[in-house]
Amino acid sequence: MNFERYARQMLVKNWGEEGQKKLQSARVVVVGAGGLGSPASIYLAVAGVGELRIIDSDVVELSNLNRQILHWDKDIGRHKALSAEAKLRNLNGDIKVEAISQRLDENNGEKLLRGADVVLDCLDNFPTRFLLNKLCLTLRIPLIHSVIFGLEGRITTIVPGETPCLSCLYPQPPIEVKPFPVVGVTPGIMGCMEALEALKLLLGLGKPLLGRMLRFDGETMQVQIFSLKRRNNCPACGNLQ
Amino acid sequence: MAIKVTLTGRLADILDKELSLPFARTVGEAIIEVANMNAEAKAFLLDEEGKVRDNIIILVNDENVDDIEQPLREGDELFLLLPIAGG
Repeated sequence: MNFERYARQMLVKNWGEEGQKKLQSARVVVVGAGGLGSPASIYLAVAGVGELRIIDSDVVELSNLNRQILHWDKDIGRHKALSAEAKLRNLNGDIKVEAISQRLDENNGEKLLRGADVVLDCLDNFPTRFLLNKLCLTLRIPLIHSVIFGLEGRITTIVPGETPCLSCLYPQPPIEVKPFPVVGVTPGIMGCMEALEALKLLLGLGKPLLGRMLRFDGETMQVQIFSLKRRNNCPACGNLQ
Repeated sequence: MAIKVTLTGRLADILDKELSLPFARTVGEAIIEVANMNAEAKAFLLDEEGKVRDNIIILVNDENVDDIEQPLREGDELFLLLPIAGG
């Protein structure tokens, strides 16, 4: 393995050659190759995460291009997963990138997620986010969840059986605002945070957002971090330990 | 007594990002007071029976609270975080 590409990040305390080897052998699944998934997967790719699986069934539309930075003008009409795969391969030839142009559902979910060390929730709707939450609980895979609305972003890291899950936060089906307002920098910032959380989990570095939510308000540049609580009667994770 | 309420997401678009509530004595009363300002806000905050929805993340002075009976004091800052799903 040639470490030159990663030399500067290996200088980070407690990273080193050992950490880089951990990343090389890691598998991360990014669900959603849009506003959050673009920056998240770019930074995971350049950091040298050995295997990236990108799941998205949509095709690129012109109205995506203010924020979904893996997709360019020439990609309009192309499957996002394939568009993302092409760019990520060019960013880092050391890693394996797999594109899955399918919608995550009850039938394919376990197969597509199994074997992942970490999953990133980069979706844009509640039904699939809840399904992903349920699948990660079943498979006991850590899930990094982030959402945005306009200039606001939120992120938390869910570890099955240890932290609150998405259903603990939202036990009733929420009312969804569609289309949601979004400026590209908001998912840009939050997607980068998701990548950072994933790297921390993979390397055992720092203090991930376990049982805590970070809220970023781009309008005021305020950042809040607050605790989240598990629900004893959570239908999704109440019986997990 | 006045409670400062910060709204987020669609609620802030419909009403205002910051409100001052002079009468609310508890978290639940504050939420109902906000809900009564606008029909769309009401749909986000209260269920069909008029009860506060339990999918709102409520912060009082940056602490997450799940008891809507929690009393509020002069100067308290209440944050109402509606579920959002954009990405």
